[in-house]
Amino acid sequence: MELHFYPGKNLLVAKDKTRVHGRYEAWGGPSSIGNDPRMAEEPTWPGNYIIDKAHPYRTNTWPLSRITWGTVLRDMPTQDDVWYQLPGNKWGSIKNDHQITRSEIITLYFNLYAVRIVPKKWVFNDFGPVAIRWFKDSNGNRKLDGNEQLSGQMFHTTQTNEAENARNLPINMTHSHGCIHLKPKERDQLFAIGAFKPGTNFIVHKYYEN
Amino acid sequence: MKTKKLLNFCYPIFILISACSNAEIHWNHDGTVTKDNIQIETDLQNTYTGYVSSNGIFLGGYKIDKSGVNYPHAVFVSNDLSSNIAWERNTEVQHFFSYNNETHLLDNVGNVELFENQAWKETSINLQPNSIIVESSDFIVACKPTPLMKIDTKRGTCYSQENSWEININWRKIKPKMCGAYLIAVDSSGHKIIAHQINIKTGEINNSISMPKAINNICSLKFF
Repeated sequence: MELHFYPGKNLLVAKDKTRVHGRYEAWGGPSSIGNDPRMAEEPTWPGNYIIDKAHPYRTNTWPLSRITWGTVLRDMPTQDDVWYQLPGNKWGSIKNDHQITRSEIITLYFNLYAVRIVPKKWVFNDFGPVAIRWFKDSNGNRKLDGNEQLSGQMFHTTQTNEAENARNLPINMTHSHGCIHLKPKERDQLFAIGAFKPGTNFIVHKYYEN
Repeated sequence: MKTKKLLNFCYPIFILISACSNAEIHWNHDGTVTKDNIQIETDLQNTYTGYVSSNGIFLGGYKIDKSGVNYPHAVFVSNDLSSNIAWERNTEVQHFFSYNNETHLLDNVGNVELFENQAWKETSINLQPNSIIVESSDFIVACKPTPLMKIDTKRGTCYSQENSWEININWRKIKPKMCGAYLIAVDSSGHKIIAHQINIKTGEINNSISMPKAINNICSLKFF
């Protein structure tokens, strides 16, 4: 199995030597550097890569992604706060630790799911429930080792597309900051056919390539 | 309206400490309002903003039903705690403020409403969604934070519609604030943190300074 991404066509193709297994809508970064002051959007860099692993992703770079998708929440209205579960069955304050208020969480959820509740679990991580990571295999041994690093660009869904999927609404795809956005159902299909198995070849084509 | 007495610790020392009897009205996150050691409940189970006026206190918060659904409300409680009015809303109260010597409400989609004759009336003022008012003495100056979501490409700004200016400021944690005659807003773009001193009549940046790290007390910043 090989994965081929054509960023200019918003197209991901899963294929092997004999046949195409599937074609999927996938949106990368813009074709030139953007001007988002938080972090400039960048193209999805062309090259040959190896799929490494899939995992829930968290990062301090983006406020909603500081908490891992699925983290258990506890509504604390009388303290105007929402708590999130920490290791060791401890609880942290989202207001104190991440400067996100209870009403912001309710509004975020309302905008996604059309009901004003504090959800039981964190469903706002910008990278969705799982990110699929890749790396450039400099020494050609198909393993992440030596000076090789996981790319900061990765396959993932968005919290908006996850909500649209959960509500059976049309999925409105958008360009990323360099990652590759997938539709939730198609991500699951790609997992099911083994496209994200560690060691899979992944080729990002140039923007003008068809 | 349920009323309960708080601790009666003031009474034995009433003669000695008269301040206890002049306690100011204040609100609590659980929806209650307290004055003179009397606490009353309102329709709210969560209050996140409050505003003390000459006649009483305005609250913004949620009524929460048994299944955990939150219904946004505005509430007014009179100074003597005898009157307690609630208005269910379609949008969240962002906060209350005084403008032209009248109490106004800004909601989270940017609508401004005037409190008049015990009711909220629409005004022609429409600000940007998620804005906060930073100045409203003579004219309104508002700021809108950078969005939380990565895919949301809207920009954080400060602006005055009446004075026809808008300036992009990438802010979120540190709220822009009036410090004397100037608006101070801290922009965090990439790894740079820059505090701007802004003329609120023109929107021009009067002065800027780089900061090694963000600080909360932005009015203590020295602009040279």
